[in-house]
Amino acid sequence: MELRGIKLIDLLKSIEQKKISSIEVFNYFSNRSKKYNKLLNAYITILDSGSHVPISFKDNFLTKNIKTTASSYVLEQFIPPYNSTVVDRLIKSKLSILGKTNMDAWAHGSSTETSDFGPTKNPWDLKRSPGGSSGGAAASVASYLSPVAIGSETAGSIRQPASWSGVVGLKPTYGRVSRYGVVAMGSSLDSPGVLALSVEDCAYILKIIAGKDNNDATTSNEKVPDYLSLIKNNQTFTIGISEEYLKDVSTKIIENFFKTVEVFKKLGHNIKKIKLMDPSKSIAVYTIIQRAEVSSNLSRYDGLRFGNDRSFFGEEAKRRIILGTFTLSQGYIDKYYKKAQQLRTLIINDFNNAFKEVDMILAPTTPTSAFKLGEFEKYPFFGELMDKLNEPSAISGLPGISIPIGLDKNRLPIGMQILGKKFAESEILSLAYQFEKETDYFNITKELLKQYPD
Amino acid sequence: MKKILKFDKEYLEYLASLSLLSLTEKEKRTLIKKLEDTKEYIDNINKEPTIDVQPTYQVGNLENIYFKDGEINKRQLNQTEVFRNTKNKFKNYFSTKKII
Repeated sequence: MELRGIKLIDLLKSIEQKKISSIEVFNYFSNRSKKYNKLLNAYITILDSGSHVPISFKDNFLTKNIKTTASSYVLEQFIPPYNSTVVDRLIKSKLSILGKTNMDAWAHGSSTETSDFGPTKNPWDLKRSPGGSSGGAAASVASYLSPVAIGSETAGSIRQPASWSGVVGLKPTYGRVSRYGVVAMGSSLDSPGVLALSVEDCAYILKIIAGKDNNDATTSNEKVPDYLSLIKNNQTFTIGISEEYLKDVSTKIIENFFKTVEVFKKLGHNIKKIKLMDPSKSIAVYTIIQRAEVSSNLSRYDGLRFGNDRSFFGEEAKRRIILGTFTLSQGYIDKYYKKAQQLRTLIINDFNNAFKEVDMILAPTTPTSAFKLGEFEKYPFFGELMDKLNEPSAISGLPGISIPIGLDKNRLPIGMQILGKKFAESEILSLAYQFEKETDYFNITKELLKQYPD
Repeated sequence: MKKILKFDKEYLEYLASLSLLSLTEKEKRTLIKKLEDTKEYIDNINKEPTIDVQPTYQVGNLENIYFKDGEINKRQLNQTEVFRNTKNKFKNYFSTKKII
C-alpha cells in the first residue's frame, strides 16, 4: 500500500479496515524520518519503536523518559519525569510519539537557526530556512516524515513555518489547549497547536488536545465541539480584508492572495474591506511583553535540580533575558511593560470592532517566502519582522490558521492566514477546508514528495 | 537606581548580574549594540496615547484553582524521579554553592 502523502485520518481508516497494521505505519514513518533527517535536521530525537500511528512533537513538549531539550544546551541531557498534557491526551487517543523536532532554542526565533543543534533545512530548498520556531515540525510534515506535527506558537511560530514550508498550521485561541508541560516562553501568549497536510487532520487533532486542564489554570471551560463534522457544514461567511496587512508584502504573495480571495468569492462568501491598526505597531508591544515573560520564565534554569547552568544559554536567550530584565526593572516597568499592556488592550479593541462587521479576517501569513539560511543575522528584528502579520492576533489571543496558496517564482510556498474570533476555531477551519476542497492547495505537496521517495 | 539613557558596559553588566548571566567581552560588545537598537525601537510605544486605557496582562478569564484538602496530588514525583536530572546531589538533598 502506497502511504506517501496520505492524511492522518485516512491512515487511521486504513488501519481500521485492516489494510495495514499500526506498527507498519509507525515503522514507515520512523524509517523515513531516519532516512531524511541527515539531510533536513528536522529531528533532535527519533524513536525506533511504537505501536500506533506516530506523530512528531516539537522538542519543547515534555515527554516522559524521552529527552526534551527545547533545542538548548541547557537542557541537553534533560529527561522529563512526566508528559505534557498534549502528549498525554494524544497517547490516550492511541497515537505514538515518533520523535522530537528541532526548533529555535527556547522557541526564540523564526528560522530554527538559533537551535544549539544546528538549523533545520527547508525541504523545498535545502539552502533555505523552513521558518520557525516550529521549523523542524513544519519540515517533518512537508516532507512526510510525520503525518502530523505538534508545534507551539507565541507569535507566528506555527503559522510562519507552515507558510514557508507549504503546510497547514493551526494556532488555536490562547487557553484552548493546555500549556502544562510545555517549556514556557511567553506565558500570556504561548499556544500549542498543529501542523498538518490537511485541515481535517488539524480538526481531528485539535478535538483531542483542546479543553480544560486542571494543571493549567489558563485553559478555558469553553466546550470543545466536534470540529471534524462542523467544518463540513459549508457555511458562508463575511470575510474582512485590511489594507494595513498588505503593506510591505512581496508582489507575488499579494498576487496569489487576491487569486485566493476570488476563490472565496466564487464559493459564495462576502468580502468586505475593513480597517485595522497597522500591524507594525504590534512589533514593539510584542517585543516588550515577550522579553519580560522570557526573563521571568528562564529564571528557573539554575542548573540545580535539572539541566546545565546558565552559562549554557546561547546569545539570543541572553539578549532576551537581559532586555526583559531591563523593561521589568524599577523605573522602567511603567514606561515599557505597563505601557505595552495598555497598547495590548487597544489592539484587542481594534479586533473586537472589526469582528462587529465581519466573521473572520484574511491576510498573508508572512511578508516574504522562505529566506536563505544565514540571512537573519543581517536584520536585528528578523523574527519580529517575519512575524509582523501574526503578532497582533497572537497578542490578542485569537486563533489563526495558515494554508498554502501556491508557489512563487523560486518554487517556494506562499501562505495565507485566516484569523477568527476567540474560540471560533471551527469557523476558520471550515473556511480553510472549503478552500482545500476547491483547490487541493494546487497539489504542491504531491509535487514536493516526488523529491522524497520512500 | 541609576537613570541611564544608553546601554553602556557598566549598565549591561548590572543587568547581567540581576539575570545571573555571565558575558564574555565579545558578547558584551555585540549585546550593547543590539540592545541599544532594540531600545530605540521599543521606545516607539511611548508615542501612542494610552490615557485611561486599562492594561491587559492576560487575555483569558483567569480563575484561581485550589487544591482540595485530602485530594491525591497526581503530580507528585518520587525521589528517584526528582533527582534523576541533577548533577548536584548530597544524600537526599540538592546541593548548591554556599550562599551566605
